[in-house]
Amino acid sequence: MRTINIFSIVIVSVGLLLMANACKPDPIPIAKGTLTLHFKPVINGADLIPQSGLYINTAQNVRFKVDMLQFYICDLVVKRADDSIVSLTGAKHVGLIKVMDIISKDVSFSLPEGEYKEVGFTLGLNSALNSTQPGDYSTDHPLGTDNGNYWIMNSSYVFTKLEGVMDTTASGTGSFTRSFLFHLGTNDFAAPVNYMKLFTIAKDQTNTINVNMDVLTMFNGAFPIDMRSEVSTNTTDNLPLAQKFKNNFIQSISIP
Amino acid sequence: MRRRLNRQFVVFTYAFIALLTFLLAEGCRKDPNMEPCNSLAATPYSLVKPLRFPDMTIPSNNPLTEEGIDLGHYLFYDSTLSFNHTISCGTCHRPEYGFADSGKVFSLNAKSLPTKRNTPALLNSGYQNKFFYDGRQLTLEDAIDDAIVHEMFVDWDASIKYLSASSFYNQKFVAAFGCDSAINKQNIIKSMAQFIRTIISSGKSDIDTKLIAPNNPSLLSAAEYNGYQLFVSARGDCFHCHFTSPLTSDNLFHNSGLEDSDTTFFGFKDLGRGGFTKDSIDNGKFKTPTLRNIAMTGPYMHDGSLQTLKDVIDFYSDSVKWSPTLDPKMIHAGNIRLRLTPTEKADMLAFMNTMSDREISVNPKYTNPFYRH
Repeated sequence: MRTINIFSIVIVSVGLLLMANACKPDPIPIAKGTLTLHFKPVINGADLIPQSGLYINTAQNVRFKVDMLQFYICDLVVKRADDSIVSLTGAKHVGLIKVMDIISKDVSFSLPEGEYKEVGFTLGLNSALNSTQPGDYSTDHPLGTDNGNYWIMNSSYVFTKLEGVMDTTASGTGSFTRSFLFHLGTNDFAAPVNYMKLFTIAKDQTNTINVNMDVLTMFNGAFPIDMRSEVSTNTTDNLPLAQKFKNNFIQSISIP
Repeated sequence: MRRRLNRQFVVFTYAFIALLTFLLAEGCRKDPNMEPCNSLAATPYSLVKPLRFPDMTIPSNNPLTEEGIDLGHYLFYDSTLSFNHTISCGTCHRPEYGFADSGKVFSLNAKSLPTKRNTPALLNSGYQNKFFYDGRQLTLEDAIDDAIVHEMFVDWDASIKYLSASSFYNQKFVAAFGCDSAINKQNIIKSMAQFIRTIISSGKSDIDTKLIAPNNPSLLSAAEYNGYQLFVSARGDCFHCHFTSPLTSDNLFHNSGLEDSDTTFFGFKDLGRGGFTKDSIDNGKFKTPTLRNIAMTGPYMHDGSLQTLKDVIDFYSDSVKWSPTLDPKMIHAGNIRLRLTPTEKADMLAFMNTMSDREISVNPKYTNPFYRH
């Protein structure tokens, strides 16, 4: 009889234990919201219209069209109001911004709710990401084969591409028979940037921050590029021009 | 009283355990109606890909199986799917020609009329996300449907009736699709897509064994090496579209200057991508073809207008034409023509030949299975 009593006690105890565990509250999840960076390329204050928009670089008296503007960003780093840092690194936080494509001008990140005062990211790819290659990813990943942004011969992704055609005739009435092409890649051309910006991330809400890009500054910035003579770099074949373009590209970006 | 309570407890406990056992046993019992059919019966198939190739994205509703691929292999070469039983997919996509057609500018469709464009090579199609020169289809399954309808003029009812009368095909559909083994349009296309996804490079071409896998260009011959250097330099400028991955295509659309459209966007004989998107800035643009097995897939370009690889190199050197949508990458310091020297052209041709992967042209995994019967 005593055995049965002990058996009963064990069964009841196990049952109580299971019930108690079932009622134990889960750890409180961190409330998160979404930060979307919306890249907004402009020329003379108006939105860039790739391929069909016709523009004039009055400083150089050159008419031009932008055929392609695209670039990677990675390593989002945001500073909270209390100076603590939240950073998102790795391939799943890489953004490929394609200005030709409206839906690809945005990159979104999931962040803990709260008040923030700075936002930063790397233009291009860090060395760890750049040591990978498209075969390491699914074809549709930003770093995969679908995007055509890799140089096999340099074992590097192409971080930034700006391409277009131009009319360099003095009269400005010629055809668009000349081109410009600035392709940046290799580790030295990744560029961390940081901006002071107060913003709030609220639970389950999206906060969109506009990131302005002044396309004319890419030519006429602190390191002016002569559109008649400095027309092409694939980085390694024209390092001085690549460096100028990199500096101007950084300068062209601002967060109001 | 206490003894009675204990006895009740024992009875209750044993009853509870018996009930639990019964419920567990019932829960595990299989539904007899499910027994005869097992949709997972087919054998999963793992693609063997060359080094540095990406993982292929396989649609979840059409996983690769040994039996599905086998069925697709037969259907690929079966003329039953053309309305008059005259051509199969394999008629125009022949392994010995890099899965393009046999030297034809335009293939002949089931009505013996020329196709609108030169037949593209199918090699590595499973890695693509847009199909045909104009990218009008977004999945391989839809591309197969498109070709069967528009080139083979399939009469689905007649073809399905014909296949259903075949015990050979009945067995193969059951083996491939189990529960869902109906001989219908969906399963026909699915199995053919499975087969085409297996048509990938073997990794045994010179570009793989000497350049991409070991990343050691010095293993190439002198002419091949010089051609490679030209290929990846701004002087030859092939790499922007053809060397962004081992697939040798960026999967994008470009106007590479084959046609002069005068000063308008609309002077092209073939609008290409623009004909599909209806956006004039896409006029004259065509999808970058793979260079894998390029020596086997002539004639070249979307219109088959260049007969040999030498002609293609001559074209890019000396005959590119300007038009409003010409890709900026085709303009080099104001010149749209590379003006290669005869030696450079010969070197480039030598390098193009390193892309040849002869194994796929004789591998029984890909050749016509009916010839083995």
